[in-house]
Amino acid sequence: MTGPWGFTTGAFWLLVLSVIIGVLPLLIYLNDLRKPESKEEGE
Amino acid sequence: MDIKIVLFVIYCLVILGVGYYGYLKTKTLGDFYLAGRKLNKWIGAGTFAGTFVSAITFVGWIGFGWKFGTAILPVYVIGCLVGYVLYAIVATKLNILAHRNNANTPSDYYEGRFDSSFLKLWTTIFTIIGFSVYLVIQLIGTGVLFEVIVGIPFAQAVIILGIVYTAYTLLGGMKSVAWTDAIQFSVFIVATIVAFIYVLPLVGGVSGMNTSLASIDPKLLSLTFGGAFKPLWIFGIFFAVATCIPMHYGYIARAMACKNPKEARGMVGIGSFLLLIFYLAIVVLALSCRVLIPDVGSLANMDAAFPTMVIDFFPKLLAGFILAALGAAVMSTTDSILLQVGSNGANDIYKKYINPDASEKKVLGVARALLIIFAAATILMALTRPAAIYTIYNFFIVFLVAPYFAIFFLGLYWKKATKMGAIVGAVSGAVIGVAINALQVLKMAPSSLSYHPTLYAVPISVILMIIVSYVTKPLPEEVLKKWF
Repeated sequence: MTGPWGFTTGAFWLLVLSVIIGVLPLLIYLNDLRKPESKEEGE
Repeated sequence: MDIKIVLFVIYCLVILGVGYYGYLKTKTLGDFYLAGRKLNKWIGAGTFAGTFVSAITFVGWIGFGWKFGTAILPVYVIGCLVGYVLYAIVATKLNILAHRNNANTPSDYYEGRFDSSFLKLWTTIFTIIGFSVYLVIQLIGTGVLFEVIVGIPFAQAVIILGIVYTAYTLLGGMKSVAWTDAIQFSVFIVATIVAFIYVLPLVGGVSGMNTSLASIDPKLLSLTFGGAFKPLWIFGIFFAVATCIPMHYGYIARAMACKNPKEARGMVGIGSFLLLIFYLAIVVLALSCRVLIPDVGSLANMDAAFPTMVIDFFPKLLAGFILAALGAAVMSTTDSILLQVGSNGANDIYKKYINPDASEKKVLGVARALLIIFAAATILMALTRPAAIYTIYNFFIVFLVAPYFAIFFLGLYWKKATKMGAIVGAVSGAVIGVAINALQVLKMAPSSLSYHPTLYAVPISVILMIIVSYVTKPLPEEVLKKWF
């Protein structure tokens, strides 16, 4: 039961999941940039 | 003189120079603690990432990956990444609240939110205890690195670096800490990527690495090390690592120090992205380390794995560069801890309870004096070298999560949380966490208490805080208005 590059399937998908979770904070910030300034205080 | 030592001396001098520059720029307490609340996202990202990566990563976790293979992913990497997401969510709110209420330290937040000076004292005490353990880990990491790579005795390495980082934290406070963290992070992310590029062909690429690991021990490719780690045990560490990040004193202080909420989120977004790249390289370095040093019995303990790989397999110049980077990682973490302890002790204990009329200059002086005493005490503790880093780390995160979880999350998001509810939440979390930790360290814990102490302390403290909040007097509207 081996995944790509010789990782086990579980380890491979965990790596993929890591990358997805790892970029989330950047996406949250980029999404923030699109909001107008005045909305910030209302959080 | 050996090129490695020359590089290291130059590095120390540069860092001290930046510390002196910070000293010239530090005039008020706000400058010392929070860089005058003017941190931008780029320097913020550097200082967040720089503080995050420490001896625990380079020595502790590469050592763990060397010994237990891909189990490093569920045990550590995923927890960190989830923690950054939680931090991104709370950073904006913390920044807005700190600016609105003029909060200097996280303890100011707990005190103000629950209108309780007891909570300020309680959280300050646990921060100081937790950070002393953390600092001991960093010093042990540094000592091991220098012992293996440069060949200077453990005790001397601990003392020399201990003095250098104390000196420059002392000089500038957050302004110099933020700048040196950012410089140091640049140094060690470059070094890690260079090491990654260098090591990958040595082990035959990722596929070659995994093939070699399978032939050394097939368990190295298992996420549970062939069932040695129970899923609930892994979940316990994951939970503690993920939740300690948003409520870590140093990171709360950084979110508060950013000049506006957008910069705070930018700091977390950019910092986390850099850390993601860094951690992927660390996973490969850890696994490659085992391929290059296959015999688990050949080293005294897992902490020696990465330094041994560097000294045995890397060219001298690269080894020197990595050594400077490792020194950077350790220093950028320790300086932040020292700063927190100095500011907590001076602001939250001295000014609050001992000398409320003290001038700013006097409080700054006390912060610096406490920093020296604390540094000296932890240097002495590190010299005793109590255990492998990974073991001490699991012990340490209990202090970072158990006392705060309930008051941090319920405080931020649940308006009905009351003063008494918060006191019960903070005290029960701390007492249960520390008691189970002690039983586990003394090897007296029954099997039902063998998982990470936070798994017991957090749910119980949250439930108690909710129950007590429902039956006690709500906080006055004028207090709540400031925080919601």
